[in-house]
Amino acid sequence: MRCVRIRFTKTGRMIYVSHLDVNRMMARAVRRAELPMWYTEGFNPHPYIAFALPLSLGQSSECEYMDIRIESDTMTDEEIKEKFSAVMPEGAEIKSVTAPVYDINEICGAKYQVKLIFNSDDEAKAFCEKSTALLDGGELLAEKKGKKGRRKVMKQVNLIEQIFEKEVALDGSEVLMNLTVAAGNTVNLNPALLVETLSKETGICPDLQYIERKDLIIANGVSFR
Amino acid sequence: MIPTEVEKILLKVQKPGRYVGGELNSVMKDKSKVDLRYAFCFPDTYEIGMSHLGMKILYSVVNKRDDAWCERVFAPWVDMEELMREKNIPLYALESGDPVKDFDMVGFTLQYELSYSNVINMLDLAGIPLYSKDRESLTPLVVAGGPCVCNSEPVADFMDVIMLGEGEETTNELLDLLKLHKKKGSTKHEFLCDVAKLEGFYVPSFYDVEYNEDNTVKSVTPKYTAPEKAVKRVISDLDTVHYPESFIVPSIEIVHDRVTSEIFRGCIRGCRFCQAGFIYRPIREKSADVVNEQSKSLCKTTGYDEISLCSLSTSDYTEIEPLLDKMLSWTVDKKINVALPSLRVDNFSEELMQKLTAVRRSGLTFAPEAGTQRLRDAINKNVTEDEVMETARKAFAGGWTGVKLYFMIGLPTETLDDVAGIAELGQKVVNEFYNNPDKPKGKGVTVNISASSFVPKPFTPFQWEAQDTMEQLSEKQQHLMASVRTKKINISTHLTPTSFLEGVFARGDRKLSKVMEVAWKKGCRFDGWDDQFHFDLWMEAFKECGIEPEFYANRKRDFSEVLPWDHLDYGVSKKFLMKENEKAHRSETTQNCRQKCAGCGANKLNGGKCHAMC
Ligand code: SF4
Repeated sequence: MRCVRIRFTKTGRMIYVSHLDVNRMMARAVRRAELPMWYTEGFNPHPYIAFALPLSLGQSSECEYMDIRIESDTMTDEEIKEKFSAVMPEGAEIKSVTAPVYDINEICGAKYQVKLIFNSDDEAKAFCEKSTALLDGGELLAEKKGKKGRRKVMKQVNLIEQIFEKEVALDGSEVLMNLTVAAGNTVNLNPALLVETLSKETGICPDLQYIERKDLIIANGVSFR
Repeated sequence: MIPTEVEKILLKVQKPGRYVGGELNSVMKDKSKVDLRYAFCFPDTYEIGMSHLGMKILYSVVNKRDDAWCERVFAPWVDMEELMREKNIPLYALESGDPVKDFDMVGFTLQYELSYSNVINMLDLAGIPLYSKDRESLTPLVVAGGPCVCNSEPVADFMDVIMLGEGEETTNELLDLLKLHKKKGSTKHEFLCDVAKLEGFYVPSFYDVEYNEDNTVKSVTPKYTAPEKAVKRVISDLDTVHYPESFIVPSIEIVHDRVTSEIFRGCIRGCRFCQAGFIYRPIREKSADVVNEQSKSLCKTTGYDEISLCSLSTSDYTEIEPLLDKMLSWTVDKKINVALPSLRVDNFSEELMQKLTAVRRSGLTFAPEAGTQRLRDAINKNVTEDEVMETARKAFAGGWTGVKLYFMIGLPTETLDDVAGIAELGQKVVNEFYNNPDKPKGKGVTVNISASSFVPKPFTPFQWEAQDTMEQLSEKQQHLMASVRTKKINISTHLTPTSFLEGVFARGDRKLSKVMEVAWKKGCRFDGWDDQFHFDLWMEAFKECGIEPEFYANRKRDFSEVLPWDHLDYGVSKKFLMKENEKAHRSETTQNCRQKCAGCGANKLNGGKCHAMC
């Protein structure tokens, strides 16, 4: 038995498929690929599949990760990639198949590219200026769903504290943002929440928004592998 | 591809995955390279429509052609509809994202009467005029098929062409003809004249309907090229007819998310309440080898881990045991579950049970349909109490602890004693569990009883019967609840207004199209969904149109009356149905088709052949 880490994309129409549905979808892809899967022991054996950091509905990604365990030591990573690639649906492309290097729990950040399209150049410009000022300030508060024990509560968080790096640029009626933000099991900033908060604070809403996850990182900004 | 305007609203609706397409095995083509574009519309949600076998088959049939591209369209849920209307986004097809009104053919599959208002809503969302008479050009041609079109009269005015019976061949014939006439630049009338000549097609506008003073139908007169009776089509050889090698695998969860393998069409039983049992005749089986191979290919291309064998009565399939042997020889290894829905209690053998336990164990369901022997005889459900108990005993001995029993209330000739009999039978099944010495230790039993309301349907021996009124049905439901004396039995029933409306449309005539339009304008759609059903709006619509719905639902018809669907021929003869009706009133049974051919007449559609008469 050996563990294999698969990096795949989520683009195009696939971004409207929820994390849970992606899990089911990948389980089926594994069956179609006819890989020699390792099954869990016990009453209801199933293939071992684990996913890194869920992606929000509506966002695309270059860097989704799935770990599987296979029985065969003879099948190479290249062969697995080939078999997998042949059975994937539109919008989910296999990027790489490798042995895992880091533990999924080490992930602490994610890089995103956000593209906001406005109804006019003026709106984009105003949003860009006001947002830059807000992001350079010390505090940007947002309401977030959280848990207190087992109860669900709304809590206030300062988004600025969860942004590691940022870059905001204006291009005609579009605003482009490159962000590195906290991500992982403990602290996690969804860029959609940031956009929503900025829209609320500036009073300007983009007409259309594209959010793409570019990379996952562990401590010291090292890329997750 | 998703239109940009749609992208802007997708994150504001529930389950956006319903509206984007792009699933595994969905078919993309270059639209500049096809002659015909067909929008196959399922008038319900994505999750329901995508679970439907007929759609999968016809999608594959059309897309096998190089000259045509079939795309899928579903009814947008109310939240999506609201935003689409607000932003003026027309109904679009999932594969290309192109507006439905630009297609050559728009086809609806009518699976249940309560989806009719969705048909109207979808036409309107597409920007296509509702009535056939208001659509002058040849395309988009609006067509319908599916089981409900055996009485298509309530929707007849909306449709240009109706496809009767099985669609694998007729869909291709219709597309061929449309292609020809499009090239020739024919008028719609010229095209329809050619369609009406073909077997399996019904052109509603080619029939004039006259009514009597008492609102019953006086006559239906064909004109132009239309035959006296439009005859349904059947596929004669299921082994060679096209069956998909792959199914679209939805990315979001749907209702029946698995491989479906059809094993035969028709039913040998002749239960008198069951429309499917009559309109899908004659009986035709697919051979076990073919089913096995098709299932294998489907599992491979989809990655599903469950296969459901599909038919009206799985255990009546003559090759069921060899088929299971063949399938289990590869499914067990691959950890694929084989499910057998529609099992009957009377021939559920021990061996079959053994084979089933080899795969994953799910709940057991039986359908005695009526609570007393007399009533079971009247409806020709040839199942005895002993058989029910015997099966329950076997099931409990095999380790099952839950049983689901299906019954109907409101059956013709039913009395309150028959209704109480349902609870008694449930009680006996409960007792059987506790009498079983090998019952699983420390476990209780649950008997779930589903008591649906009987709705008389066309082309059944009960097509002349009065449906119970809503009051009668409620009274019987209450009587049933009151007759249950244990917590081990759970009862579920249907909303009576829903059954009433279903009954109206099932046996309705062309006057109902107006009512439908009015009700839809008032906001009716998704009538099959309890949380969207507005009975008050429907009743207002009937009133405004001066139509009494009770006339259709609760009136007993005379054998001599001209029925609105008499000009459609589904193979089963009216004489046979009358005879069966009379036998029902004498509580006399008819043997199943394998014991003895009852002479229903449907074999004439298949060159005199019927697989049940060997
Ligand atoms: S032709 Fe005879 S055997 Fe065949 S379905 Fe009809 S009654 Fe049954």
